[in-house]
Amino acid sequence: MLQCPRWLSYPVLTAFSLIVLAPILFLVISPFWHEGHISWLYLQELILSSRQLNLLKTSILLAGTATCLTLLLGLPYALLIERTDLPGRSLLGLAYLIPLLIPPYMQAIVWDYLLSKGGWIAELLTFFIGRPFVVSPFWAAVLSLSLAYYPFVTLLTISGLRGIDSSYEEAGILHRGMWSSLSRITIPLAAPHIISGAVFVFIFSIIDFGVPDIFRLRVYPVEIFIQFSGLYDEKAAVVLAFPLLLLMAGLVLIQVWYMKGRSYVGLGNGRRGSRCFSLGRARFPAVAFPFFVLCLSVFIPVLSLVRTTGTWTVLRDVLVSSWSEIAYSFAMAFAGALIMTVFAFFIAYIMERSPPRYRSVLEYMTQLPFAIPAILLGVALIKLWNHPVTAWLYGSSFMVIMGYVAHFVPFSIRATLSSLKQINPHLEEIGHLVSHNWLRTAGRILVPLTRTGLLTAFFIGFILSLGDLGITLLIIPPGMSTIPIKIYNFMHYGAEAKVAALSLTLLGIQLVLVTGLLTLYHKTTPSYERP
Amino acid sequence: MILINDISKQFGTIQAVKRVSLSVDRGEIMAVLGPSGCGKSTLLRLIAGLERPDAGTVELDGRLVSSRNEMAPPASRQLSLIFQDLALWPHMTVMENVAFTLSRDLFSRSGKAKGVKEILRQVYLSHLLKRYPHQLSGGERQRLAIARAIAPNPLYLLMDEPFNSLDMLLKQEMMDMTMALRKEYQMAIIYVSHDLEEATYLADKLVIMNRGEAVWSGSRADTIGLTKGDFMNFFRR
Amino acid sequence: MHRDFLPTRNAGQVHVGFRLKTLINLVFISLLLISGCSKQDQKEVVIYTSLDQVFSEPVLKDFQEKTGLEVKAVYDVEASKTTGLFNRLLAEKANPQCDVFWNSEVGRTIILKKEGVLTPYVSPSAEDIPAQFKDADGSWTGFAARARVLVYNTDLLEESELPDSIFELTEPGWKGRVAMGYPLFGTTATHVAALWAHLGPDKTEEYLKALKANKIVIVDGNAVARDMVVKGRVPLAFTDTDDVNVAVQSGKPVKMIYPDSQGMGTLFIPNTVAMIKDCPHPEEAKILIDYLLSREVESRLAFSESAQVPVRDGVPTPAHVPLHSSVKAMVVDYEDIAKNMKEATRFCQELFVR
Repeated sequence: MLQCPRWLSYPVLTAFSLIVLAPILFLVISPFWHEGHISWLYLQELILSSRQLNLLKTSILLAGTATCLTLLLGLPYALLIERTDLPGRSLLGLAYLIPLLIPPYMQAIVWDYLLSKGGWIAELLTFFIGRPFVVSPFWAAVLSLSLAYYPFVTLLTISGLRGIDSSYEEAGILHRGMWSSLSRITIPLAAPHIISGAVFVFIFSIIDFGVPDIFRLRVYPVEIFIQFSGLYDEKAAVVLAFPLLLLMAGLVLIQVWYMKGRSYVGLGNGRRGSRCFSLGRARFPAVAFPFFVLCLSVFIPVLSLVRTTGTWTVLRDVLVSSWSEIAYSFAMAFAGALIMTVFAFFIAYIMERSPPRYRSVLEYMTQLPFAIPAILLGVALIKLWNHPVTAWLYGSSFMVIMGYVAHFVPFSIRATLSSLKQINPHLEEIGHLVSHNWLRTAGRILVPLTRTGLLTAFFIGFILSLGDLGITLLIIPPGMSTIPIKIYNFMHYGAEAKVAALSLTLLGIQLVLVTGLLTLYHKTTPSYERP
Repeated sequence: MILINDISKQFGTIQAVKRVSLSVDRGEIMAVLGPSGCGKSTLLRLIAGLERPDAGTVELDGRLVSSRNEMAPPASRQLSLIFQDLALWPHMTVMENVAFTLSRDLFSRSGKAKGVKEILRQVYLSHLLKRYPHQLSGGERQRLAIARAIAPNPLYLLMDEPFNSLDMLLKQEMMDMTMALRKEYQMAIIYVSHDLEEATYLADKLVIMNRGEAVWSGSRADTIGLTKGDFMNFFRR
Repeated sequence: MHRDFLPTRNAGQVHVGFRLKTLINLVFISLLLISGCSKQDQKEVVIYTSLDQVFSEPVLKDFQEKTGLEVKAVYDVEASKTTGLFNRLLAEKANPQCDVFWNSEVGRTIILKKEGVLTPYVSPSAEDIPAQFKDADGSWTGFAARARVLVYNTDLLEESELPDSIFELTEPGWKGRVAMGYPLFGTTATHVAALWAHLGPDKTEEYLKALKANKIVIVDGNAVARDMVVKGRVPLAFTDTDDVNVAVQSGKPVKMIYPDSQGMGTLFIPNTVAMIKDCPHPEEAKILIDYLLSREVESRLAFSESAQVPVRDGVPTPAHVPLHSSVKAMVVDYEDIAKNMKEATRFCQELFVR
């Protein structure tokens, strides 16, 4: 019966409500308040026309297919590096994070170029197949989305695999052999993480319109934007977002139901899983798979970017001229990620230690921000905070950070929650038996044990914030600018080389942070845990 | 003294503990026996303050610590609980596991380290101070768990099937250690088991539980007349 | 409440169990610092501009040097889905943060006026600007225009193959060979609304339907349309003069056509500048507007890569920028265009977004 102490849960939940839920609530309520009184007028927008239903169908199909492909790519990758004796797995275990640093629209641009007429991959394939090779826009979009997002699956799966007590799997291997153990023990035990990863990928894919747009696919988010930016009908746009919201709610429902009553707590002392699957003679050939995935997701796009940048001088000029944007972007993303992670830890704890019915409610509420398109969230933030009373907040960089937290905290919560779920509650209970101080128990026991989840949450929060455009544009204080804004400006201007150079810069910054985080992770991993 | 009055606890539709009363004095060992799922662990958790009773009370040395409406925080009860799975903190060394349980109230900084080492010496773990639980054998882990439990000088000790997975020799050693603890520190010890022989060896008082209820209680002397068959009857569902 | 964190540091390891409270304090302090950092109440003026940063920024920097007023700018991003600044202005209406809005087109400025976001200001610099480029009340003023043109790839099309009118593009010879930005956003939207106003709804709808039947390629904005032509994916596209000029200046094999010089003429879309109602720095706003509407700025924009066409006579321009009077311009009332935008958008939505 562990509970989060009230002096902590009340302020945290209040802050969460203010920062994250208030804009959403505001958005959801606004269509029903028209010209001074309650109105059901906009509900008629919910009666989707055949065109809109078509778009919705395309969106779901695209996101679903992309999710399947990410599972195909990400899951074996995770298993190979975490559970086998694959050579080079320490390096491969880091390399898969790199695609996360490449925004999906960048993947789309690169692959659009490579796969269309004249691109060398298309040429290559035509040569092999014999007849002209044509990739339909749909599959090209699926590929781009998958290559951009599969690291989420890998990341979360690894997180899950690390928490499985290896004695479970060893028992399985003893009785039934490797494949049985894998399919009946390992994967089901890591299932909540795998599913979390898949859910993320689905959500990111479905609200993404940059990628489908580059391939000229018509998807549902476009409808929302047309309503908003083309017809200036903000309320109708919000109502149109409802189906997406319902979809998200449905996904969360499925996930919560799936995990109902399951225990992920090993009765051992949380000993980390060992390399129990030996590949035998397939050891070296097996490397081909991760290598192939990395080729597609990292080497080819980066090489493409480097080629487009052309010369060192371009890169240097870009760095010099964009120095303030780089610093500002980094600072904002860092602050945002930090706050997000701290928040996520407390919220995840509150959720995990709440009675089941509250927990479900909290689960839905904390995942909702995901489904809101960035631009609508931005407008909600403005409407909510742009008053003379809050002038000290609005118009400061604080708003930008708040925007990031509001939009991306769901992921942080998920990542932290996954890790938290795997801690044996007894470990915490003993802590409370000996110490009055909740913070002490949390700091000395919970935080080290959820280390992976926290670092993951920080890392992803940072990347998402760094690459954000939609929200930043709406609430950035006048006079400041970020890297994505600059990239888009250059894109419009047609300065391909500059776009590539800035993108490489973005990549570089993220690499610096990743290295820092990984060093921190290794430094805090007791020697017995090191692979 | 641990005094439990008519305590009950329900989880959903399952009545885990049904109107159980018992008392244990300082310097006494009480064994709670019963088949799996009879509510023994829940009883311990109720005493420790990890669960809130639906009815009944728990008093420690005359002080009301648990009732339906009032719950004193676990840390204020001066008791220790050893879980069945030991719950040793995997990311802390042997020394840290013990040291964590000592709040600043009891020792000064340097005094603390000394106190920790002394305790670990008593359980024969002096040579393993920097090891992690993962690197210890079963018996070493048990001893660590005990060391961690007694370090803060608790008045009451609760143990949940502590000798389960131990070999005969180790079990004997542990049981002797428990009795020594009782003698030296005058703790009130409640220990939960399903092994009758163990219980009759160790305990001054016994309580048998089945399906949440206390179906028999008595002192060690009272058990002499009973046969094994009689006990099995109590265990029947 | 005291905490007890043990000093046990094993070699080479850092305890992640650091003081949570200290961390929280750190976070709090750094937040205060950040918030402190970005508020300065010196003499400044805030401008939102949707003209590309590469063109607008130098102009604003010049202004800053000349007058000593600090310019705080927010630049827009012409990814057609955001139209961020416009929405931001609408959202901030209750408590305006911006002083001046410099739009690269006119339709949305008029809509802002309708929404009550603007306030009239008649600038002395605008005296010699023709009336058709000014709002009747003075809520906005137009300057430095772009034209809606056709860009073609010189490697793919001969002079003889070039179309004279946009209406030719519905012919079979152009099937699948023409690109256009989403007609729901940006200057493409303005263009379509202009056709609505000029030709009437029926004729325009017919034309657009024919374009769709002729497999016109819809892309994400003028820049992408131009890039398609530059890369040779399609030989021809609708775009703006500044987009073409950028490519020409970097040596790409493209040229532009001012269509319908014999017929209805080419649509010119001016930049517009307007003052925001209840803005925080009204006096400074006026100074900035006066500067932006000056002949020097128009000339400068003409000379820049964006090759904007001055709307008044006698402004020095480079050779490749035609005089406004020399090109057959479509006769339009910008108010009319703004009025028709919504309907045009809705129609295009049905037609092109499937």
